[in-house]
Amino acid sequence: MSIPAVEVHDLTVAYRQRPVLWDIDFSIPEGCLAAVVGPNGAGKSTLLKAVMGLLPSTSGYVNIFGEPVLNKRSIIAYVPQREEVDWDFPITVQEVVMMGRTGRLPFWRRVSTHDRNMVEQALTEVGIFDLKHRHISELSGGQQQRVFIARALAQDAAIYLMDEPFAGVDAATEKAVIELFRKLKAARKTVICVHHDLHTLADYFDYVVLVNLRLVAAGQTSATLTPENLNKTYGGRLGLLSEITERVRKRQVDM
Amino acid sequence: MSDATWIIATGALAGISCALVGTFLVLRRLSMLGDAISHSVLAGLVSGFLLTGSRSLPIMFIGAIAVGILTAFITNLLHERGKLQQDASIGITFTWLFALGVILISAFAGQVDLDQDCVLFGEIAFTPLDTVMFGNTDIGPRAFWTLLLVLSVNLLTIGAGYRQLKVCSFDPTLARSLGVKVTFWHYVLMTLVSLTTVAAFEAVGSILVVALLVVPANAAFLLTHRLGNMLAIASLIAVIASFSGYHLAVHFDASISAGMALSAGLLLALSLFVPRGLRS
Ligand SMILES: Nc1ncnc2c1ncn2[C@@H]1O[C@H](COP(=O)(O)OP(=O)(O)OP(=O)(O)O)[C@@H](O)[C@H]1O
Ligand SMILES: [Mg+2]
Repeated sequence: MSIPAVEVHDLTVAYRQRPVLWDIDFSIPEGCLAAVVGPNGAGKSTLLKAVMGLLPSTSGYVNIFGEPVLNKRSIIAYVPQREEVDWDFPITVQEVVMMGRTGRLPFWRRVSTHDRNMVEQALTEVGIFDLKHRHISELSGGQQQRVFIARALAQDAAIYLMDEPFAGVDAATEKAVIELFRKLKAARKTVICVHHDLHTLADYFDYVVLVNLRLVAAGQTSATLTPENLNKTYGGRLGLLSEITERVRKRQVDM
Repeated sequence: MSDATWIIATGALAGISCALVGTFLVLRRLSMLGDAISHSVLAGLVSGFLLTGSRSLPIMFIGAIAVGILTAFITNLLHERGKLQQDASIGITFTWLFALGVILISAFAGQVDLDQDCVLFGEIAFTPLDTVMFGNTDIGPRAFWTLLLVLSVNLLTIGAGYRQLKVCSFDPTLARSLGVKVTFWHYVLMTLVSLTTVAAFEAVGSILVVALLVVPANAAFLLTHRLGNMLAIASLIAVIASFSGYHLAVHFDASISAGMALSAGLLLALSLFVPRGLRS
C-alpha cells in the first residue's frame, strides 16, 4: 500500500485543556476528494486546523506523506471558513491571492514572474480575474469564497484543506468549484473539504470522515455513508436526517 | 528655524511614528493595547532610572521596551490562559503597571527627577527649550532628534517586515502555515509601539500619544482599501494635525498638544463624510 497523503493517528485536540476532539484516527489516500462531515460544533474546523499542525495536540500525531506535518506544511494549502476572515482589512483580491505565494518572502526577495503567473492563472481558473483590483468587501459571498480558493491554487500545494467552500455559493459557483476539484484530483492532488450538504456528498466526494467530537467513521463514501453512521454522527437530531437516510437507502438499492 | 517650526516638526515626527505603528494596531483590533503600553511604560521609565540612576536615552528606551513587552505578554496571558476578554485583560494590565509606576515615583520622589504631570500631560510647547549641541552649534530640540531616530527605526523595521506584518495581521492562520513566525512579529510590533510611545510621550504627553496612535490610523482606514495607502494617509493626517493643531492652539492660546489631538479628531470626523466610492 502506498503512503497516505494524510494520516491522523489517535489525535486528541483541546482548547484550554477542554478536549473538543477525541481519539481521531483515519488516513486519506493521495489523489482523492474527501469530505469532513458532522453537525455544527462537531470539531470539523478544529480537525482541519489540527491537520495543518496549527493547534497543539494533547496526544497523537498527524503525518503528511509519512512525515510529521510540521516538516510538510509548505505542501498544504488552507481555505478558512468565511466567518474567520476579516473582510474589512485593506487588501485587494489580487493581494490576497499573492499572499499565498509571497507572504513569507523576506524583503530583499522580489516577486518573481513565476509568482505573478501563478496568481493570474489562479484568478482566471476560478473566474475572478476581472475583479482582481476590487477590495475584498466589495464581492458577493460566492466571489469571496473564490478568492480564497484562488489563493490555495496559487500556493500550488499537494493537499488542499477547505473549510466549507460551498457555504453560501450559488449552484453555478458550486459546479465550477467541483469541476476544479476534479481537475485537482486528476493531477493527483488531495482535497479535503468540510461539507454540510448531505445530498451532494456522495456525488462529489470519494471519501468521507464523519465526526462528532469523536470519529464516527471514515472510509470510501460508498461503504461509509450508511444510515447508521449518519445517525451516529447527527445523533438523530436533524429532522432532515430521516429524509437523507431514506435517499441513501434508495441509492444503495439503486446501486 | 523658529520655535513654531520646531514644534510643528516635532509633532509631525511623533505623529508619523505613531500613525505607522497605530495602523497595524488598528488592523489587529488592538488600538487599546497602544493606550495600555503608553501608560504602563511609566513603570519602565521609573525602574530604569531607579536601577541605574541615569536618565539617558538608551536606559529609558530599554526600560520602556521591557515594560511594553511585559504589558503585551501579561495581556496575552490573561486573555489566553485566564480566559478573560481581550479588552478586560488590557485594562487590568495597564492600570496595574501604571499604578506601579505612579507608586514608584511617589515612593522615591526625592530621587526621581521625572515629573508626573509632565509625563502625563507632556507639553510640546516646551520642546524647543531642551536642545542638543553638536560640537558648538545648537542643532535643535532633543525631542526632535529622538523622534527622528524612532521614526527611522519604525520605517526600517516596517519596510523590512512589511510582508510578514501584513500576512500576520490579515490571516495569522495562513501566516503560520506559510512558516511565518507570528509570535515573533507580534512582539516586534509591540517593541515598536513601546519605543514610539516612550519617545513621543516625553515630547507630547500621553494623551496626545494615544490620540496619534489611534486617530490618524482610523481616519485612514475610512479613506482607503490598500494597506500601503493606509500607512501613507495616516502619516499625512498626522502631519496635517500637527500643523493645524499648532495654529489652532496659538489662536486660542491653548495647549498645543490638545490642539493637535483636537485637529486629529476633526480630520477623522471629516473622513466619515468621504463617500465609500472615493476610497483609493
Ligand atoms: N478558539 C477556540 N477556543 C475555544 N473553543 C473553541 C475554539 N474554536 C472552537 N472551539 C470549540 O470547539 C468546538 C468545535 O468547534 P469547530 O469550530 O471545530 O466546530 P465545527 O464543526 O467547525 O462547527 P461549524 O459547523 O459550526 O463550523 C466547539 O464547541 C467550539 O465552541
Ligand atoms: Mg467550522
